[in-house]
Amino acid sequence: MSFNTEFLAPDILTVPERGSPALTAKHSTVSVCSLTAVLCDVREQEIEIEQCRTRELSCERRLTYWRHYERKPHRTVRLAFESTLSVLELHSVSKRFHRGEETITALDSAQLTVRAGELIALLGPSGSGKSTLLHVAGGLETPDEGRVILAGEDITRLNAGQLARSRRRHIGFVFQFFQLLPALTAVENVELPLLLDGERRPRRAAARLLERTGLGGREDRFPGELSGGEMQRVAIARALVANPQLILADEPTGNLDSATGAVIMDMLTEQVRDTGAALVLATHDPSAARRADRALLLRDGALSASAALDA
Amino acid sequence: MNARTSGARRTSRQNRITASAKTLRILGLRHLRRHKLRSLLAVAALGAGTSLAMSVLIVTQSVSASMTSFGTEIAGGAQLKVIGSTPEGGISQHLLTAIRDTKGVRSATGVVQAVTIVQSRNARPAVTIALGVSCSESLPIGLRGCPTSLKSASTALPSQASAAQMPVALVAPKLLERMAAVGTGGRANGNAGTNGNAGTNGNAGANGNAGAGMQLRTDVGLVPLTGARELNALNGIDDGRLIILPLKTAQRLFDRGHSMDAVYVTADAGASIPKLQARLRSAVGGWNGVVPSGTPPPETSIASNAIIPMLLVVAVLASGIAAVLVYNIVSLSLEERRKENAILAALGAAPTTIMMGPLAEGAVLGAAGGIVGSAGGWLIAKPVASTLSTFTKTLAGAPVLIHITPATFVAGATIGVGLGVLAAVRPALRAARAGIAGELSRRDRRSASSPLALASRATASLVLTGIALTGCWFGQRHGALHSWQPALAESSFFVTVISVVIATASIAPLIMIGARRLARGGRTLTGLALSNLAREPGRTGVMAIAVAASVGTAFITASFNQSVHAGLSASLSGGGSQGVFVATTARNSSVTVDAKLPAHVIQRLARVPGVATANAQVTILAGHIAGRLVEVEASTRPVMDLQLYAGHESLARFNRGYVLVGPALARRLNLSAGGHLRIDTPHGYAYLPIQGVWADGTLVGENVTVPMSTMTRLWGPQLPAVVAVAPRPGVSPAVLARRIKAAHIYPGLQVLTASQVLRLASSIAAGQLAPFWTLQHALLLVAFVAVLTTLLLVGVERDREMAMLSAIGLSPAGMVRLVISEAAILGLAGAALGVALGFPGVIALNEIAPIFIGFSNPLRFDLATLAIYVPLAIAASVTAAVLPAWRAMRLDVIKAIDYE
Ligand SMILES: Nc1ncnc2c1ncn2[C@@H]1O[C@H](COP(=O)(O)OP(=O)(O)O)[C@@H](O)[C@H]1O
Ligand SMILES: [Mg+2]
Repeated sequence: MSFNTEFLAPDILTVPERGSPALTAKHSTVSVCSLTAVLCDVREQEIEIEQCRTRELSCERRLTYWRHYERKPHRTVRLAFESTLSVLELHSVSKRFHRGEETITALDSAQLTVRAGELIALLGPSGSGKSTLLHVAGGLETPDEGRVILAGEDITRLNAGQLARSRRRHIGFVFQFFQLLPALTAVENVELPLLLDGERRPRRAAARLLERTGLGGREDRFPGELSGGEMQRVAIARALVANPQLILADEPTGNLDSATGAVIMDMLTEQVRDTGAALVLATHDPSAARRADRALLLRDGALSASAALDA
Repeated sequence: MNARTSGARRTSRQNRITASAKTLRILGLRHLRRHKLRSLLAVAALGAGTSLAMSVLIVTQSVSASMTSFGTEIAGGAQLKVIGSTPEGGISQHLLTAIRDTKGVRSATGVVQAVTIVQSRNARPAVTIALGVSCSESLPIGLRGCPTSLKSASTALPSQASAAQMPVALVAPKLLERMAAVGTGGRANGNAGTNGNAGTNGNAGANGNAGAGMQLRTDVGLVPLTGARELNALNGIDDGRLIILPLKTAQRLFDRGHSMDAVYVTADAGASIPKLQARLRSAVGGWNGVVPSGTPPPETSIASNAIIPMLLVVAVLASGIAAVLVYNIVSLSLEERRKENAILAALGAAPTTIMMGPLAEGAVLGAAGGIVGSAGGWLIAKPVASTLSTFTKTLAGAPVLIHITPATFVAGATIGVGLGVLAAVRPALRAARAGIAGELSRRDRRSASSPLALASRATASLVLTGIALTGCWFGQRHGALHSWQPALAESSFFVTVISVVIATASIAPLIMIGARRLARGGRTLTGLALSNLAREPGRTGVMAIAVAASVGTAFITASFNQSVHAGLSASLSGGGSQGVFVATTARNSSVTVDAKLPAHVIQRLARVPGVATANAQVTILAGHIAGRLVEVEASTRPVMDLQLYAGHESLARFNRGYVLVGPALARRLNLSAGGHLRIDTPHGYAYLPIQGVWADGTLVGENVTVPMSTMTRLWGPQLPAVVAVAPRPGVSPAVLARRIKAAHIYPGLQVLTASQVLRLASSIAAGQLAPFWTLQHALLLVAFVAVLTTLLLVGVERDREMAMLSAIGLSPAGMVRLVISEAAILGLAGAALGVALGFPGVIALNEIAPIFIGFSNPLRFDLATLAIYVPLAIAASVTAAVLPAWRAMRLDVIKAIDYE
């Protein structure tokens, strides 16, 4: 049984190594809704270990604790718990498109498990089904066959409203073409996921994240006033802001020059690692595979382990 | 299952709502602000659409408020009012006694409330009320005590119309002032009754002799008001247009005998008013009314009934068209936001959140449009109210003043929000259902409707049009005497309009598709323009509807006007009434003031050389309930000159005491030949045997024609308002008219030939069509707005395509030509459809018109109007393309191609 520790409150810059004793949960309780967690009060980025308490938490309890700490903005709670659960599971997922007479099999019985905190590179030539896989994983597209389990829930069974909520809570998207809303400023774009999830004052969190992605001082620019690299930074901040467990990035550097692309790629992986989220990164750039824990190859809709990882 | 603490983000419901509101605000409202022009256009469209509905509301509300305040002013301190079985002289002395004897009545004041005209040498004649009151009783109109001036009135009353005998009258200083004013245009001789100069010799306003030079038209002729006393309290009532006379004088001057028009009742202190009302009701009988004292005179409803239903039809149509336009604007703006909605969905916005955007946008635009519409409605209401006012003043002496309250604007905003949201529902639903992934990767553009689908929709709507026209026909058949018929006719009319609109929406793109096939190999730009129009059937359809609606409405309105004119002229030239009409006022005969033709006039008319017959026409109103008055008509020489819907066309039978009823009355009371009409008379209910139902449009069909003997028996001898004089063979109407005028029979006598009457009647009918013309002008604007918005919005989406064209060598001038020719082609097609589909509209309106106006007219198609409105509509469409064309010309090619 492996341990995966996830951290909420990503606004803490110094994240201890995964598995550091003070933050690891006891693994005696594995039940999903009653976890053993360690709560620590954090002041000015210094962890006061003495204040860490171990708690048995039910789902409701967790909620209460989170709220309790949220009300004290000078403090941040760090919550760690054991998780053996995968963030995403694709079980024999197939997706076909019809174009006139022709039927295109974009995904062919794809099988994939993404564990919490894992970084996966999804390689493959153009048209191999990378985007389709990400869309299906994110509930933007329903598969023709197979099941998609996101955060323990089979999302193929959800209706549009439930699906939207699941996306809101668990997933952050980063697209090749940034997909920012042109009518909103950078910071408004970033706070949008929080607003959609019912947060009343998401500005601080959004601004801090923008700061971290290197866009401090440019919060109030509109997308039209930003460079491609800057727009993608905004998009990454937006994907991370709601602390999703899973980031789905579809060729995030595909529309950038290679120098900018490399910087953005570094930033993305670093930020994702910081937050402890899992990342599935579709790209046809084999060098991206080096940053990943695992690399997978898609060819004509079929997934296989990639040799690129060893290179 | 979720093992993440992020689930803890689930906040309370209230938080969610606040947050969604914020999302909406920053997204939805920022859109409105960023697209100011489009928002403005949407507001204009909604404003135009709601303004007609609002004008109906404002007019209705103004009529009711004006009449009520007028009624209340006159009522003074009285709590109840008894109205007789006829508005003129319906209450006998006997009835007054019965009222006084009723328990709980402290005082009961009988009044004569005559409506007449006061005139003077120096000013335009004014309609005023002559209120006859008796000083032995407590007075209405809030006068405290009986003015001494009235008390001293001599009981010696003028026995004949003569300048020497003048009534003691109380007049408002304001009226005196107005009547003494020297008109800039001198004396308007052609005007109604201003040429009465007999009997006046006083210098206006000289030596404190109030009323010098002023004359009152009465049933006994022109009566000078020399010696009238001023009473300041009267200034407040209708700007002083109220003259008080001693009751006996008024009865004498207005042919009331010993009767009165109304009785104002003051209750004993502490008496229960509802109980007193009930007691009075049983005391006076059902043919008289007992109402709160401020209740407006029932005659005032006649005016509203003549105009408001038509206005309502127009308003409903206009609102519908506004909704279509807003629908177009909202769906186009959503079209632009498909990508954005997909992004929102990817970020986890729920379908309902995405729907909220367009709905909120529709609501905000609607609210603003509704407020603009209220202001527009006020502008439209003004002329309508003034038309109504002339009616209500001649009917009851009460003017219609525009009443606008903040509530009016709230109502306008509400209607606007309703329309805006309604228009946004479908686009919103579509936005919520859009495929996200396809949208994000620029795939999944929905496929346009196929020509086959368009053709089948067009066929279906044309078939529906046919069915609806049949419905109109069935609805009006045989005078629409069945109670279900008007409902069928009206709903069929609406279905006709709707199906014609749907047909336009599907035929217009079909025309484009067909034309593109034909133009293949022809001029490139035209072909390109046609392709653009053919590619987006929905948009082309909406623009075509807007253009077609303005042309179609002009066509329908003008044709209807012609029909009415033809109908009136047929009725005036037929039936042997090829003569001249003599009356005291040059108004149409069904609405008259109280000054009628004295008996001696008829005798003297008959003696004018060249006169063959003089047919005196007498009318009275029967009933006391607003909206249920019946006009009773009789003439000394009855003719059966109207189309008979049911019953016998036998003059002999008629002369034996049978009656003919108008279609609306027959429908309302379910009357048929062989039955009886129960009618209210001063002596109780009378039961008149019905000979038939005929196409008499008087009082929109609420009328009964009775033999003169019946009239006299039931209502006593009546003076005629109009005498139709037929010339002897060889004498032309014009010559006869000249001779009658030369005979100086009576001061201020109006002598009109049939063609003059026709002109008058037509102008009154045309006045009722005024709202249609307002609608038409609004629709021209709407067409302009529709084409402008559509081309502008489409332009944004088409930037890439335009840039491509530019990259392969299309010049900026070429782009301009492309956009303009698109608009021109569209204008042409829309106008053509407006004409083509206007025909069913003309037919449908002509079919159902009798239900609104009381008589049917021959079908006419006014093609001449098209010569004006077709070019106008095309011009509006082309003009609307100027701005989009300019935008296209200034397009930054590189940016547009690069534009993500
Ligand atoms: N909405 C769609 N309609 C039709 N074909 C599609 C659609 N989406 C994807 N495809 C096809 O499915 C295949 C896989 O596409 P995609 O997942 O976008 O590949 P990749 O992202 O690896 O380039 C391609 O052949 C593409 O043309
Ligand atoms: Mg792709």
